[in-house]
Formats: sequence, structure tokens, C-alpha cells
Amino acid sequence: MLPYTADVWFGVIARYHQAHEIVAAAAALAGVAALALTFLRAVSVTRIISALLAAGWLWIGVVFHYQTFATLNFAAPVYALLFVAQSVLLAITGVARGRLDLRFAGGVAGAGALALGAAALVALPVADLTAGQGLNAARIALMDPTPTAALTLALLLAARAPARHLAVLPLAWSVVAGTTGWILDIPQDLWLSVACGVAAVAVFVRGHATRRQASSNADH
Amino acid sequence: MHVLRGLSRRRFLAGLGAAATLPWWASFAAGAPAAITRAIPSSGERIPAIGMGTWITFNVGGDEALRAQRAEILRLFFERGGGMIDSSPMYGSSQAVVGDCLRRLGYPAGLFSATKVWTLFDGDGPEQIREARSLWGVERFDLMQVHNLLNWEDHLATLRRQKAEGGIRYIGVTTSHGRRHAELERILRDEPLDFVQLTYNILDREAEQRLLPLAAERGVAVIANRPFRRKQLFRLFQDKPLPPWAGEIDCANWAQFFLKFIVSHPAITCAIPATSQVPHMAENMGALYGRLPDARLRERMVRYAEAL
Repeated sequence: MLPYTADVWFGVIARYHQAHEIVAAAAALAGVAALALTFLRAVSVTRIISALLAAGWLWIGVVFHYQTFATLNFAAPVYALLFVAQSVLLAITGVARGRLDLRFAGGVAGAGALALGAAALVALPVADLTAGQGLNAARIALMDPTPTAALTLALLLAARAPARHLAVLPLAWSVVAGTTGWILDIPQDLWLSVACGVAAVAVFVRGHATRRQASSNADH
Repeated sequence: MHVLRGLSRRRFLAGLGAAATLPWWASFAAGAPAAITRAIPSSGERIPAIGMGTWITFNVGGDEALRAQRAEILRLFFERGGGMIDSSPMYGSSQAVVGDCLRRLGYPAGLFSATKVWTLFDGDGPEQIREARSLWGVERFDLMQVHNLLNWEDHLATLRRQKAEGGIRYIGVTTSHGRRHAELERILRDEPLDFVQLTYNILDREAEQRLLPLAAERGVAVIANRPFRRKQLFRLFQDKPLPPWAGEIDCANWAQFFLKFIVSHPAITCAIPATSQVPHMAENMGALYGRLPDARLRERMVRYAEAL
């Protein structure tokens, strides 16, 4: 049982968006940019995508969870820590060390990733809007937690070299979001969380397979 | 004898009949039917038997429209004779919203402020109480409770100290959902308390077996939470008819039926239904008036509810 209702939850999101309109617009563009950049061949795009993701996770952890959501939910400070941790992981792995390769790998995983990315960037905010929550409450990837987790998993799934450790916290948040969606009767969160779960499993499987392949190549 | 001149037998008997109903009539004529109150055993102070909870319903954050609407709910609550408002730090922004609403209403005289300390760390208890006073805008709380028995040993010591210093009027502990009843029983036996809060409603009656008799024996007031099982009772019964004898206890709707069952138990001091709807508050507060079921009718109410 959660200490708030769905209407109150979306009301908080709407006021949060209104209070940070410029960031909301920037986040919307950044989310689309992050997905589009995966189609470029330059290796350096990984650092840019990682930086965009890291910035989003950090913003959400500090401004949304800690400063905004904590007034409604006593668990929010814990969520804030998780989101900041994910930001740090992305910054270290993807930006500082350049150990990610987020360029689009294609294939079945790529198709699934595009579908999940479209869900995070388009379907979820449209669902929020059609559910009567109003334009201001339509959630935005890199501004709001659930579409950010979904977009992150989509990018990891699409990657040539999936980084499993970066899928853990997005998966954890998906469980939280799915549970919240179940309790508050927000079906779009429930379905997106299921899709995120499938994506996370695929990331782990592909990541394991890629690692084994790399080890096998090294042996030869 | 001159006053009786011209007075017929019929008129005389009609006058006697009117006189017999005078107290009831007089109270309505005065515009203030008597609310049902219960005595707090440790002091004898009487409080209205229907209070208000704030779990979820008052956790509306900074939404101005919702805060204004909640202020209307509180206005009606006090207008209809309500007293106890129960909250907790666990309830998000509820304490802040309650405080905001009370400020809008000018702190009605009937307020009985009840909140809780809810932290694992005993050192944080005093600070949490201070913060609650600030949020509510009150100088001291009528009742401070240890929420869900979390670190109750340390927090009760803090509450006793503050009560001795005059910072709190009454102290208590809470549980809900029927959890930790065995531990609550031990606390009731061993610790001096003014209040306990537990779940009790027409379907969740486990407390009748040991806790309610023990509370009565120990002179501890009892607050009943989850009187509607968080709306579940309405979902179960809303399409079912009230029993034809509901009028015997002045029940016009299921909310009053459920609440009168609870507050008619001799050990119960107050029930704290929560609502975010003004019409529902009106229904709830209707349970504060009229007749209550006796033991036989209570049994009949249980049989009726269980049969449905």
C-alpha cells in the first residue's frame, strides 16, 4: 500500500515539470538524441549517450526523488541514492573509461530495443495524456524515472556490447514502477515494467554471450 | 386551577406526550444534537467517538486545489462535532496538509491532535516530534503514539519524559492490519499507556478476544483504525441493502452501520475513518449521533454482515 493516490502522484509530476520547464524540454530532446545517436558509427557517440543518461539519472535522483517525491513517499530518499548510483556508474563506465559500446547492433535485440525506446519516448507520455493526466503530467525520459529506466535498458539492449552491470538498477526501478502501477492502477507503468524486465533479461543474456565470445576469441 | 380551565382531556394527554419527548426535541430545537462521546480512562476527559485518519487522504503535497478541498473536509468534520485527527510522519505530506488546513480554519476548539513518532533511531524521536509540532502549528500534541511499535521501548521512554514535562498530554502505541497483537498484548500488560490504536471493524474482530478486554481492564483508551478496511467494506457491501432494522440505530448508510458497530464496543474510545470526499465525511459524522446497538444488536450486525 502506497501513501498516495494516482491523482496526487501525477499532480506532483505535473508541478515538477512546470517548475522545470526548460529542463523538461531539454530532456525530451536529449532522450530522442540518445536513441538516434546509437545509429552513428563513431565510437565517441557512446561517451555522449552515456553522458546524457548519467545527467538524466542524476537529475532525477536529486531533483525528483530527493527534493520533490520525498514529500509524498518516505522511500524516495532511498530511490534518490539508487538513481545517483546509476548516474555514477554510467559516468565512470561510459564517459570516463569509455568501456561501453552503445552503437546500434541491429538484429532481434535491436528491434526490441527500438520498440522499448519508442515506448519510453512516445507511448508512455501518450498513455499518460490519454489517461486524462494532462500534458504537464506526461512523463519524459531523462526527466522522470520510469521512462528513463526504460530508455536506458533499450540503449543497453541495442548496444553492440551490452553492459550487464548497468542494467541492474534500471531493472530494480522497473520492479518498483510496476508494483506502483499495479497498486495505483496505472496500467501503462505495469506493461512498461514487464517490457523492461524482458529487456533486462535479454541484456544479461546478450552480455554473457558477448563476454563468452570475447573470451573464446582471446583464447584463439 | 385556573390554568387548567378549558383544558380538555385530549389536549392534556397531547401535552403530556409532547413533554415526554422534550429532551430530544429540545436538543434539535437548539440546533445541536448531542454527539456520542467516550471517556479517556486515564483522565476522564471525553472526546467524540468519531475522529479522522489521514493515511493517503491528506497526502496531497503542494496541490493548492486539493489542500483547499481537504480544508472543506476538515471544516465539515469540526462542524459535525469531530475532534481527534490522527496522522504520522509516515503519511508523506499529510501532517503539513493538516497543519495548513487547521490554519485556514483558525484551529477549531474541538481539535484533539494525535500523531506518531516513526523512526528506527531513538535519537531522532524528539526531532520528529518537534517537526510535527511545526507542521501542525500546535504547541503540544494531545496524543503522541509510537507508530507500528517501531522501536517502542526507546520511543516510549521519550514520550513519557515529554509527557512529564508537559509537552504531550497522552501517550500510546499503534499497530494495524491485525499485526503484532501478541506483542501489543505484552505492552498493554507491562507498560503504562493512555491509548492504544489497533485495527477493529465488523469483519476484523480479533481484538475482541484479548486486546479490547485487556485495554478496558488496564484503563487504556482504544482507537480503532481501518474501520472500513481501506474501502474494502464498501466494495463488499455497497450493492447490498442495509438491514431493515438499521433504523433502530439511526443508520442511514453503510458507513454509519460500520462505524456504529465499532464505537458501540464498550472498550472503544474512538474510530478514525479517513476520507477525501466531503459527502463521505458527512456520512461518517452521522455515526456520531443517534442510537448505538446494544450487545444483542451487535451480534445481529455481525451475522448480517457475514451472511452477505
